Amino acid sequence: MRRLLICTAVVAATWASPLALRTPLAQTAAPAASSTARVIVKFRADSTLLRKQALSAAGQNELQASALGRRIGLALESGRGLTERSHVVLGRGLTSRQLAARIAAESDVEYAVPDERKHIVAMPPNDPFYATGPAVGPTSGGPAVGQWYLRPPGAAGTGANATAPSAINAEQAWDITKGSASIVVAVLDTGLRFDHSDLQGGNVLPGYDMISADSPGVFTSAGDGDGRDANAADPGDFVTASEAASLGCPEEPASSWHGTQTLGLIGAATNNGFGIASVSYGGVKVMPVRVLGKCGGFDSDIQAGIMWAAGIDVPGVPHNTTPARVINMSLGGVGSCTQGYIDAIGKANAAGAVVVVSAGNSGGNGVSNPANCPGAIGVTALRHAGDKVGYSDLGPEITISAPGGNCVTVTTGTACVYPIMTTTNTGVTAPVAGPGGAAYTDSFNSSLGTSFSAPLVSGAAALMLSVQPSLTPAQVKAKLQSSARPFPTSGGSSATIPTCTSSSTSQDECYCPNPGVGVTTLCGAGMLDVHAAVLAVAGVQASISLTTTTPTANQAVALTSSSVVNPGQSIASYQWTILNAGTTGATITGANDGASVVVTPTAAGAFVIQLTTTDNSGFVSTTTLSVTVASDTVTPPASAPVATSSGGGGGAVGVGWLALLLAAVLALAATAPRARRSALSVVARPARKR
Amino acid sequence: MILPTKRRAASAAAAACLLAAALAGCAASAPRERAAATPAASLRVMVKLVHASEDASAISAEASRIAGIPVTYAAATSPAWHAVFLHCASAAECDSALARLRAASATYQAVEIDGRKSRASS
Repeated sequence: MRRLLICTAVVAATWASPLALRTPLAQTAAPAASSTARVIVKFRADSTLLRKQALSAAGQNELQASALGRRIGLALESGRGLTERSHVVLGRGLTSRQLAARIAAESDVEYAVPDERKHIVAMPPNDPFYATGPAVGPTSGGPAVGQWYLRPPGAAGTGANATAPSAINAEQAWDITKGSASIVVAVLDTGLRFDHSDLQGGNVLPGYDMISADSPGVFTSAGDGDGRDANAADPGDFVTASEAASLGCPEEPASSWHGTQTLGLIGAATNNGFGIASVSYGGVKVMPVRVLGKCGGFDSDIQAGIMWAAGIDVPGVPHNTTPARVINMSLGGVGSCTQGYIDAIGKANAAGAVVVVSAGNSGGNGVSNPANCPGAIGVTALRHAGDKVGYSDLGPEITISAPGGNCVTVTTGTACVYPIMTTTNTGVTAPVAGPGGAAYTDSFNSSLGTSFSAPLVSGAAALMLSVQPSLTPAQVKAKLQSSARPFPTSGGSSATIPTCTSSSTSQDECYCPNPGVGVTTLCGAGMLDVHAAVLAVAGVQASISLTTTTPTANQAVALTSSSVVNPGQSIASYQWTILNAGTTGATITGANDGASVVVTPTAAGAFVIQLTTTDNSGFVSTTTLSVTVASDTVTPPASAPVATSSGGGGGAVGVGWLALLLAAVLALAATAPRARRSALSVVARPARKR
Repeated sequence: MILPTKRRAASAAAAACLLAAALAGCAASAPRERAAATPAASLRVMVKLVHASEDASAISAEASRIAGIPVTYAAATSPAWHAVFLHCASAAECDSALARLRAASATYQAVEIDGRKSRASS
């Protein structure tokens, strides 16, 4: 009894001491251990935590934070006070979102939300053409709306900027991720002008040239004098009259620099104060795989490119040591999907690669091959207003739609208002080397086509994989679709724009049908929203709440999952594991696969428990918690603040506490020195371990 | 209203090509154009082998035997899929050779014409 009294006195003295001397965290979550979580808490009007004390407002808040912290098993500090019942609390060892979830579960709390930073807008990048293109002259410059397609829809500025419902909202996604360098996007195209000034962000991989001979020893299509090799540079794809005759395609007086355009959209250096921004913020790796030359490219070379890009070995070609998680193909041809593409795309998908393909530009006909293949994410092009642009093909095989550039202008020679702006080269046929050759498409040399819709989706997929690398291609596709915005039903270029139909006739500009019962979707699930897509795959975040406020040896310690899932998601499974029992001998009592678990330690010390949660989308998150266990020889009184659920005060030195303190002093005076040392060491031990 | 992807005037491009020819761009392609003048009936096809192989010589020899015309190896897509050139005297001969390859189901799971795809800019 005397020993218990001593302990009681010391505990009481501890909690009556200045707040700054209170013990730090009793347990810490492994993730974000060094970061500070900030949560805005509003207490219910009838909360016992609001009990008045003879303290300043700041002192009141500090007491409330401390009491709240004891309830949820964390040491909380008070931040700025907001109102009489609300203020900011600070914690460590978990995210603001996790802390908010734990606090919100308390009955005294009206709400608890993360105290997040807000920006005037979502921090647009400083690339000058992001906001507006070069000044419009007689034959070059623009667009005035800059990279309208990357901005939030309808919030991109004034005038024409504010009327782009199809803009993909990449800007807000960059607040979540600016891309991971571990994600590679392969761009199967005409190769790349590696020396473009806006592609010097260190994220461009060498890639490969997969174009083989037209006939034995003849490399007209390749245009570089040889077959497959490690040089993915684009030598130009112009086609002379004689080349056109021999290869059987139309003459092309100028090179397209098509691969430089599509790759720049995905991975141009961003926020570098120069040129344009890219969907992935330049954060992911981009890898050119040259499969198109003069008169396009052979199916076999394209399919070899798909395989190689995904990390699957192609006979005669060195192994790709940087396999792509996303493969962009802004190419196509007429016809149904063939077995070669079914095999190649299937193997790429199985290797974990998302395959994104342009729908085609035949003027509103059926989806081209290979966009119509199983496993491909086919992309239809939208006007700025969100309706299908006339040139874009469409059909039930399409997954999603994204801007492809359109010109609401009027006559030839007038600046196109809504083109897609991207990197290109100034060379007409052969490339112009160095910075002098670096250029951007604009309102006169416009990038228009489903070629430019697909890279926007590829960049979105790369950002999704950056935050959740475990996503499968099927999951990426599903999340792109479920996060897409509905198509508009008005805003077209005239009052007579029809709804797209599934007829076999070509469909010029038309309103895409939104998914619904009995509806055949022709432009996919909706308009690409990069921010929503990235948010949708953030997945479950595991978190553990310690229900037992004072873990003690030989007593059951209850722990509960306070994991957070996105709206519409739920937790499918839990798995609890004792990672390290330490000296506690802690074991899980009963089931270890429920939302809560009971652990029984047999001695003082600390144990580490791990919780792995899986949500209904298959996302997995793991967290650990270190729990300190006191000796069972130390039992705080039921009325002590540390053990009460009311949390009443704890900071003020009331009459009851003074009585307890006095009793303790008397007891200490009557105790032999040896016993006193022993008693003090009992309470000091857990404190040291905290 | 849809405008073409490339707005450069053809005449300007042609003039630039002539200029570039002096430097090498257009001129360099001339010899290859002549070399590319292969028989009009030459056909590039893809075959999917029943038994995967990376032996280019054996693959072309077997294709030649089955097709009944000269066949040379083009490139691989995978150990199963390979592209080969059928060297035909006429379009009709190519059609017949292709039919024979397609009929050889014990050797080939699939036979496809190795068609071309184009960039998808309007």
